[in-house]
Amino acid sequence: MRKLQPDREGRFRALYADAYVDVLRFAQRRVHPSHAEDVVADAFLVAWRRAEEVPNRPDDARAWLFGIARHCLLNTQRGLGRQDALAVRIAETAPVTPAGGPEADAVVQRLDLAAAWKRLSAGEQETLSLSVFEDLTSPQAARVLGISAASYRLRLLRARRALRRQLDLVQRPGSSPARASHTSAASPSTPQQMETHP
Amino acid sequence: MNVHTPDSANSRLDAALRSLDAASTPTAEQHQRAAATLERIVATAPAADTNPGAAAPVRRTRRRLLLVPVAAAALTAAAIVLPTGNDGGRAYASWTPVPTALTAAEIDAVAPACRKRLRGGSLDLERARLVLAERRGEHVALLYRTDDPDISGSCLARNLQGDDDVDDVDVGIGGSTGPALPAPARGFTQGTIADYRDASVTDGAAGADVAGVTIHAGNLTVQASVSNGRYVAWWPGAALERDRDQPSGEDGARPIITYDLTLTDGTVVRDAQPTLPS
Repeated sequence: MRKLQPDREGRFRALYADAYVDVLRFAQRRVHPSHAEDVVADAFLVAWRRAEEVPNRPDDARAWLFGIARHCLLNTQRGLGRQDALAVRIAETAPVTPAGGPEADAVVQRLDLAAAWKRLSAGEQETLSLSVFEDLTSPQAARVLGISAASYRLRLLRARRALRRQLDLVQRPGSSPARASHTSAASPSTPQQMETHP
Repeated sequence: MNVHTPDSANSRLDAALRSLDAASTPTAEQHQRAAATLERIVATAPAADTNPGAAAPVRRTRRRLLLVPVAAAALTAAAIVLPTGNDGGRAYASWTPVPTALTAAEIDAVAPACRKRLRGGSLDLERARLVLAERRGEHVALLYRTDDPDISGSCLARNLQGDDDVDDVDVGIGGSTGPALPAPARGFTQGTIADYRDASVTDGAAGADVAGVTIHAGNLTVQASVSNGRYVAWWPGAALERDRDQPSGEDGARPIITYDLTLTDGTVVRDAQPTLPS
């Protein structure tokens, strides 16, 4: 019979309940939605086997789980060629026919921002995402990436600059791909191969 | 929460970015699947002795393998003992208790070597379908089947992820001369068990309400791949008792494995008993 370890199992169940949604959302931003749940299952399985290492503070535990999920994803994507960073998807933006007014302007700004995001490197997207989407502190984000907090702050500064630079470029008249008609999701390295299931 | 204080321009940019967040709120179905996943995970051994990717690559010595056709009518559980490897479990150090699905490209790379080895047995490869394909570390398992007659051909091969090289191909064929029996909705039918001494492969039919099959084999806990009413799993260890090596088939060595089923409603059935043909 399997040996039960109630304390360890109880703690893990609490961690799962607390962090599952956040880890799922982390994965949804980085792989095709059809694969996100598999990534989360892989990450939590690793976490189960390393349960003694779970940080005590819930925010730190969440960041620790993101690091594991990132590692699982990088391992998988290396099949397509070695990568050190994960591209981050953003939402599909619907095609619009601007008819003027502030609402249309806001839509165009969103399209421009989406286009600018697509022009960032995977590393820049990942750096920004950990702060903006995952809402991590610099030390926590640094831990996810396996770098120092100071290095992360520097990367974040550069990534913000890069995004502004790309936003300026797409907003120049005649140069905006977003204004053409439609901007699709930025998923330059979404691992399509993982959509095949046995 | 972030402890740094972004300036207002950064705040506006961040807010605009958040409106483009690709993540969504989980559905009720996703929450249900998450609950089933949790049960599967905590059903596995918690020991941190199978860190994926940490194992140094070890090449197994090649060995001759048998194709074992099982022709007895109404024989569903076919126990197969295959020749002993001499390198114990070291070759499978990268094995993971939870499988990942093979990609189409990986299947394309591995399938020709498997089909070549399966040729000549009692599995009709012209009609056989590939029903499951999974990876556990450096090794992949493919399962080919015909439902009538109820014959499974399993193939275990070494294939590094992202690499087209395939070696150490092991195959086993088993089943019956009759058509496959459907498994009860909340149960399973045990199919072929192939024991290579240092690794074992088993497959079977899973009922419509079965979301997960967990196999306990000695100290190992294995999460099977489950898809379209079939399950398959392999692990670096024995599946059959050691004191009765021969013959193969119904009168051969007895299985030492037990099963837990995770149902789609989250129920976990411990030590589930397979449905056997009457």
